[in-house]
Amino acid sequence: MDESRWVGARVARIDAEDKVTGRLKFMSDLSFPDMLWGAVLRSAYPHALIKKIDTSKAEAMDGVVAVLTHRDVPGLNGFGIVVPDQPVLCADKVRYMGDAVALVAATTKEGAREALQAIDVEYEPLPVVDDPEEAMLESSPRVHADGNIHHHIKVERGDVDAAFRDAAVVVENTYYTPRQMHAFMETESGVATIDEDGNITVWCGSQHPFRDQLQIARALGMNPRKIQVVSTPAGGAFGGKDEITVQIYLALLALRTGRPVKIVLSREESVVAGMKRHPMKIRMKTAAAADGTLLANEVRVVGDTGAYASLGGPVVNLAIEHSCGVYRMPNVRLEGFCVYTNNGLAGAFRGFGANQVVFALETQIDMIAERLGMDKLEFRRKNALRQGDVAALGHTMTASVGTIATLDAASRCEIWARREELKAMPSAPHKKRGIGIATELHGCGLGVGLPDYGAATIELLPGGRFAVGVSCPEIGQGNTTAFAQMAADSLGCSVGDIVMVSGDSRHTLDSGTSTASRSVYTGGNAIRSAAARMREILADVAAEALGAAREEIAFGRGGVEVRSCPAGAARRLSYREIARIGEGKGRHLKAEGDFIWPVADRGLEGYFGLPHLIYSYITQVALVEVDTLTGEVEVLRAVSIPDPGRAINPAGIEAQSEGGVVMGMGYALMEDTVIEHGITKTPNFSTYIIPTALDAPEIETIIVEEPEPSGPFGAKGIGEAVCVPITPAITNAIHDATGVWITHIPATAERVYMALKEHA
Amino acid sequence: MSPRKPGYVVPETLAEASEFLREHAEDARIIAGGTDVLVQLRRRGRAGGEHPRWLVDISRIPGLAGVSTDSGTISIGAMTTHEEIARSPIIRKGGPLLAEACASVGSPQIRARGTIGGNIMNASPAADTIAALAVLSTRVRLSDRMGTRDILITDVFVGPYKTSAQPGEVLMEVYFDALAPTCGSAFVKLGRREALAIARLSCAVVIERDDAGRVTRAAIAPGACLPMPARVESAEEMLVGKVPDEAAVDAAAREVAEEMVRRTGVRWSTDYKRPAVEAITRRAIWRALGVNVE
Repeated sequence: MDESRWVGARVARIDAEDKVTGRLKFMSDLSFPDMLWGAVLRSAYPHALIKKIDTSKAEAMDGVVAVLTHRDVPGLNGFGIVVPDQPVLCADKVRYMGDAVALVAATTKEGAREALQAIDVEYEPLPVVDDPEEAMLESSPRVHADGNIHHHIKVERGDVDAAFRDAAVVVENTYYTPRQMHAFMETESGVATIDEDGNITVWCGSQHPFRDQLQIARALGMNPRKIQVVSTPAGGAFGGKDEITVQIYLALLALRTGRPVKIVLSREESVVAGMKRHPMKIRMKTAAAADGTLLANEVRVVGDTGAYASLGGPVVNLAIEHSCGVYRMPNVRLEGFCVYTNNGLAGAFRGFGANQVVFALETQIDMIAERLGMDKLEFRRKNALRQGDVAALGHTMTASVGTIATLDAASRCEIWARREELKAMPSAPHKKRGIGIATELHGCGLGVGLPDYGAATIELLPGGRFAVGVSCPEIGQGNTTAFAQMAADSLGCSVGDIVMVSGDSRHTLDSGTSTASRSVYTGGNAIRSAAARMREILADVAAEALGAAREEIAFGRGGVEVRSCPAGAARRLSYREIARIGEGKGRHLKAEGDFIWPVADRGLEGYFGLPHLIYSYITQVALVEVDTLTGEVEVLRAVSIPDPGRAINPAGIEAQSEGGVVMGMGYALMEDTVIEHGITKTPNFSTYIIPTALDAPEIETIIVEEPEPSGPFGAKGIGEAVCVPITPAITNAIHDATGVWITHIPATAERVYMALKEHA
Repeated sequence: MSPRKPGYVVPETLAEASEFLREHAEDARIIAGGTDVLVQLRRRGRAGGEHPRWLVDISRIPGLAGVSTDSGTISIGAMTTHEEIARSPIIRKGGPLLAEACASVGSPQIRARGTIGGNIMNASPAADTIAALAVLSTRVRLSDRMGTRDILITDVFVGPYKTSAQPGEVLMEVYFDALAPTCGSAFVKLGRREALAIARLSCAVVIERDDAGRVTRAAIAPGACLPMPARVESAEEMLVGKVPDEAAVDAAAREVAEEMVRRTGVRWSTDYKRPAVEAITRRAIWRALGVNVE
């Protein structure tokens, strides 16, 4: 068993047919009899006291069934993954334009929106806090009573000052990164229903149905068992649906009205109210010896988390962890601040703090290599951590380390190997070409000190197929296909015999989030645990039915047979036959499996989640062409070289890789949610610019496998890393082309042009 | 309270449309492809502003669609979509830069809905087709039930999103002289990305030369950077009568940029726009001269 028949194969997505036929519904497609439309009254100011809320006019309107305010929140009026500091409905203060002040349920969508406008809220505006560094000053107005510094982390190892003193090269720069938007296809949306016993079901885009269930239950003051959360695989998330979005609003309105309620945020509302990537200002000072050995890194990160905590603290922690990247860095002084402002909301987003610091670090690395006259790839190889090395945070790299393998593959890829030749052939005299490289490691799982577990169920269905339940939601990334492949190989059946159940708090066991590059690793290990138990059950049933000893039962394709039996004899049972036997005996053939994440040999006191033990690795290379007259940058080609440990589904990894490259390219060149004085200036896709298919470069994905022994079939997570180093690979390529260093992304045409002008 | 939805009328004839539009002057708005009108309605609804009370759908009025040619004049009906224009063999031969401009509009979906008439009458300073129409010396035909008047494309506009059309007037068609085979032309656009990009800057150029290579006629119109669409005659004059060399092209391109600054004043964006306009104008001129400097 465990032969790789399905693992490693380019299996078509198991949900492909449902998606292309439209059978899989978006939340906006859901409809129930007697359903109401919900709408959310958002704040009128980025920062204000609420003096009075009068809902009487709205309540009197035709078609309005309920109007709720903070007075109608039965339980805790707050939510938040780490600290519940975000009000469900604001009572006395609003802290950003997306703050929810009231909810309406009405018989029509238009009626609900009209009712919002009939709610009178009296505000007393407060000064707006919109600069994170100013926000850190004692004299600054406070977004929260405890002060604006939500989280502070400081890590120091070795003798940084001595290292800088003795170094041959020291580079020091300040980097700025934008407020990237997840830009998922469907906005935060869902439907809640309630039955006659008061059980509530919430359908929504979710990255952790069990935590949503808990947060809903807490706000409603209800037993979580009475609440079911079902996540949809349509619509996407990228971290933007990790925190509660509309779930509590839906549940409150369903509870109050006793009817199904649907909320679909408009894109504008989503942009204003929803999560973003933390804009960061990063000061980085990096030193190396004359022979190219990296000596020290001093980092100061200030992250703008906006109005509420959500996962801002952990994001800044991970920024600190990833700020020394793949390198041996014996002396470090790393400091991070996570700061409240009135600038929207920032939290989880694919990459989780690494995107910002890896952009800074990989630029520093190129600068140092250039100063020392060293090849940029060789410089990285020389300094890269190997298995057994001590990483910047002081923990030992005991798990598989793929940097060297990905760099080796990069050195052979066409755009790197032929870079001088490709550089010399720009498409016009005023255009310049460059090739850039960058690499990173990316922590998988939640890290030290956080509960990080997996669970799976396997049930033999009457027809001989297996239902495999893993709660980590499918949110478009393809994890259910990978789960089905791993289950098929663990059970000796085909992928077509697996029915996946995912993202449902009632029909699966809690297996944690679909975040943190963790779901394939976690779910896969839990499936293997469940499969081992399932096989024992199957062997028991078969042994009894065949009158053989249990040790005599061997697993083959699609069933079991008695080992000693000569070929052709009828001492074989298919899974369908075993199912029938089980049914006849009234036996429910079901197994549960579990898994606990291994963690690093030492944690960091006070900073939970740090460090990680298992990392995925990736090197990415970009070929760009810069128009020196207009500053426009075109990414012509990109090569993405991930180390997923083991590629469960190479086609799935390629798809992740290609999507990641384009997302990281948007981050490098175009994307920024502009907020001025607390007001979002780019509230729609006409002003928030993401790359289109025509902007995407030709992307080649080269999968390098450094199997991770603790992973299922050797796998580890790759969902985040794929969007990270491409950003500095592109900005380093701009430097290679023009001599200009990009320290402020996105590198828009204006910024590049102005930098070129300054450089000239 | 959000404004109620506008009423929707679908006149069968110009007279009917014109009568209705005149009667409801301030309260009615023509809808063609809807790619601008619907977005504006939605935005206005959100901002709590007033909707027009009536939308007048002109798609059933006869004679408003299609490209035709007659003794060297190319006519395009107001309801002709960007997609039809971009694909039209007549346009690709007699006004290829207009085909390029239409092909650069939005996305396939927008090009399949959006019309040339709508692009003109919406009067956005960033409209992709207007600079191209300007250098083709396009005339537009405005009709109402009383009659018809033909005016130059550049006289349509009186300000951003404002036209000189009178209540009751409907843009029927646009027409221009097909470019002679000796003419070169180009449309160059600078957007924030390769598709679905509103032009930040654009430039349309037509150049005709004699057998000696001397420029006999030049038309240059920058787009998206002037308060109102216009040709820059002072730049055109720098090319006429010359066999264009690098110095002449550079000078004309610089003049376009200077003219932009003269008309808009110096703004925060000028540091970038001045050189960028110069660069794309230079590129458009060279392309019109048959030299591809992409």
